[in-house]
Parts: sequence; structure tokens; C-alpha cells
Amino acid sequence: MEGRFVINGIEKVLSFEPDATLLQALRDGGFSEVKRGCDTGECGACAVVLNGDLVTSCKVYAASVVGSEILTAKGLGTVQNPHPIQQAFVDAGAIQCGFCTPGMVMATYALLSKNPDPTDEEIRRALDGNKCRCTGYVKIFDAVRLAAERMRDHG
Amino acid sequence: MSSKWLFPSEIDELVGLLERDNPLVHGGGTGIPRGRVRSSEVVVDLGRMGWDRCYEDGKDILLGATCSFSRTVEELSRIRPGHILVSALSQAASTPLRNRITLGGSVAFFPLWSDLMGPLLALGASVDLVGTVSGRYPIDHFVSNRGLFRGSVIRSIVVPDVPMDGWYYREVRVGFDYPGFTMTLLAQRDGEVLADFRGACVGTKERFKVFNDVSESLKGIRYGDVDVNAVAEKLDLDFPDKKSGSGEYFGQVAKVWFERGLAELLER
Ligand SMILES: Cc1cc2nc3c(=O)[nH]c(=O)nc-3n(C[C@H](O)[C@H](O)[C@H](O)COP(=O)(O)OP(=O)(O)OC[C@H]3O[C@@H](n4cnc5c(N)ncnc54)[C@H](O)[C@@H]3O)c2cc1C
Ligand code: FES
Ligand code: FES
Repeated sequence: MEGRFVINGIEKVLSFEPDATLLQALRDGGFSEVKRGCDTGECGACAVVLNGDLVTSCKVYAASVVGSEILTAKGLGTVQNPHPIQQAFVDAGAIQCGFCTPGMVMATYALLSKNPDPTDEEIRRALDGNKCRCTGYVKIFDAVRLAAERMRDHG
Repeated sequence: MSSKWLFPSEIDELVGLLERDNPLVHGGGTGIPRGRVRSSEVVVDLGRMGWDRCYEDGKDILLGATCSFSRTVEELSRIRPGHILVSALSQAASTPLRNRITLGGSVAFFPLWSDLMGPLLALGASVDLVGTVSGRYPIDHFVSNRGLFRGSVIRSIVVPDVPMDGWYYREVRVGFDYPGFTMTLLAQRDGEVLADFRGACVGTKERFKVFNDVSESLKGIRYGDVDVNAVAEKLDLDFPDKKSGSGEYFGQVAKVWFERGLAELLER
């Protein structure tokens, strides 16, 4: 099958099998920043923003979302020009091996785009689908708070 | 086999496909294994049917079958803040999954860990079907007799709009776990009297138990006269052994939570 998507603001045609997940279609299409962890919807490594909502792309069939807008971590910023959320993760030391980071960043982005001033409970709920095996979450929380503060201050 | 994905947007088109092709129906897709897509000639995606809203309809609230859990929480919180489905569905799974899991898929799939089914069973909800069998059917009848409804899909879930105090509990070790069981209790107060009481437990050996006997025995009793321990003791709940504990263990834990829930409801 073939399908047209808008990925990180750019139209792209992806080829995939009818039973392919969005995760597989994205990775085969070169978007390797979307990580494959559990493949069962439990770890959040594959999280992307689909038409404005956070989803685990391993639990979405590619065929069912043809025509959609998808945002991955690379659509937010680059190494030279990181998004404030990405910079906040670096500054707060919220990264160790980095495997969970693209998913964490996308969950943070999905939260802050709807709720610029979240409470700790709202942060906990927004990130409840993302697992990290390294950081212990405290610094991830710090990063989300820092990103929220900087985005509120600087727009 | 190469599956063909179809996206009907009209009822006639959908019903035609259901009758002709015996397709695999796709709600959100989180419960459909890839093997099932691979082995299906036709996959029918309900995403363009426009069944993704919740609204009031006279004495009922209608929940569209393709509403995601998140959408349902958002819309119900506006229509009926504090609704029992709001507390249940906002605790289910995780944020990215709640954004995908649909109500129709969850009723049809009815996993043992469902956060949706307890509240629906306790509330006495019905399903509104289209296809080979159409019309409204009580939800307990639908889930217990799936064979009778082959070739039909859920268009919406009809929930009686009754003002009741609700209490919901999911038995998990950490928030993200699939619950070992869920317990829903609802009470309606009329002055000092318990005008109505309903409840359901999901995750038992028969998948679910609606507390009809308890309801009958409690209706009309003064709040202060309810013997919470005695009611819990009489509960007839039989659980299968699960990874997270034996059937006997879940039986004990369920009684404790029933007791706590009922006591809390009576104190409100
Ligand atoms: C990691 C993980 C954790 C989860 N945890 C929880 C939890 O804690 N609590 C909870 O409640 N749920 C949980 N779920 C969701 C649950 O397990 C199912 O995946 C979900 O209920 C399926 O809904 P869906 O909309 O994706 O349906 P689908 O996967 O699309 O469909 C499921 C079945 O229903 C049929 N179907 C779909 N829509 C309709 C319709 N309108 N009419 C008739 N048949 C239909 C399909 O053909 C299929 O047989 C979890 C899921 C995952 C992946
Ligand atoms: S890879 Fe998708 S949630 Fe783990
Ligand atoms: S930084 Fe290693 S898994 Fe999170």
C-alpha cells in the first residue's frame, strides 16, 4: 500500500504492508527517531503526535491514518536549533541512554501545547504512557517544568 | 493475504460491507493483533462514520462508538461533570492509548481488565447496533450473546441519564497495570433513604457480575441502617487465578473494596 502523510510539516508518501503499524511505516520511511521498544503500547518509546494527540505509533495501523499530520521529535528541533523542550531535557539532565527521550519529548510537547502551566499531577498523567529505565523520572519532571517555564516566558 | 482497507462514511455503505464481506471492523485498533489484519480480506475502518461525539438525547446520554476514551472524558465532563465514566475512563491504560481506544471497540472486545464495562453494566446501558441485527439491546445481553449479533456493529452506547453518586475502583499495583478487577458502585439518595443502588464487578470468572440481588436488598433502606459488612459478606464473587494473584485472593480483596466503596457512598 501507499499513503500520503504530512510528517513534520512536509508531505511524504510512505509504502507499507496492509498490516503495518505506523511505527513500522515511519521507521521504514527513514524516521528512525521514533523508537521501537516493546511494540505492545506499554513503553511509549514510539510516541508521536498524530493530528494533535499523543499516540503510541506501535498501536496504530498505518492504513488507518493515511492523510494525517504526524509530528516526531525531529520535527520539533535539530541538534543546532533544539526546541525549548529538548533543551530543557538536556539542561535538567533528564537524559541518560536517551532511548526513551524522543517519546518523552513528544509527550511533553502534547501536554504543553494544550496546557502551558501544568500541575505536577497533570504532568504525571500526561507522561503516564512513557517509561524510562535510566533516569528515575525526577529529572524528567524537572525538565517538563523547566520547559513549561521557558515556553511561558519566551512564547 | 493482502487486506483491503475500506473507509465507509454512510450507514448504507457500511451495512452493505458488513453483509457482503464479513470484514474485520477497526475501531481504534489497540486490541486487534496484526495477524487478524493479515488474515482478513477486508478491514472496515469506522473512523469516517462520524460516530465520535457524546451528547444528551432526552433521558439518555449517547456515546458515539468511535469516541476515544479521552474524547469521552472531555465531552462527558462538560455534559455531566463527575460522571462515573469520567473517573473510570480517565484511569484506564495511558494517555497515548486513551487517545486511541474507542468505546465501541472496548465493548466488542470486552477485555477482562476493562475500565469501561463496569460503569456501563452498573448504569444499565444499551448498545445501538446497525447491520444484520439493528436496534437497541441491553449491554449485558449483547456481551453475553455475541453470536446473535454477528454482522452488526455498535453505532453508539446509550447510557440512562440518572443522577447518582458514583464510586470506582481498579485493582492494580501501579497505575498503568491492567486491573485485576474493577468495581463500580452507584447510589441515589432520597433524603435519608437509599432510593437506588447499583453495582458491577468486572474480572470475575464469568467476566462480570452485576449486583442485582444487592440492589434489590438495599433499595429503600435508610442510609444509617445499612450493615456494610453484612452486605459485603453476602457478595457472591468468583475470580479466576491470575498472574497477579489467586482467585481466592481477588475474592477477598474485592470484598474489602466493596465494603470501602459502599461505606464511602453512604457517608456522602
Ligand atoms: C498496553 C495496553 C493497555 C491497556 N490497558 C487498558 C486498561 O487498563 N483499561 C481498559 O479499559 N482498556 C485498556 N486497554 C484497551 C483494551 O485492551 C483494548 O485494546 C481496547 O478496548 C480495544 O479498543 P479499540 O477501540 O482499539 O478496538 P479495536 O482494537 O479496533 O477492536 C477490538 C474488537 O472490537 C471490534 N470492534 C471495534 N469497534 C467496533 C464497533 N463499533 N462495533 C462492533 N465491533 C467493533 C473489532 O473488530 C475487534 O474485534 C489497553 C490496551 C493496551 C494496548
Ligand atoms: S514501542 Fe510502542 S509503546 Fe513501546
Ligand atoms: S534515558 Fe534511558 S530509558 Fe530513559
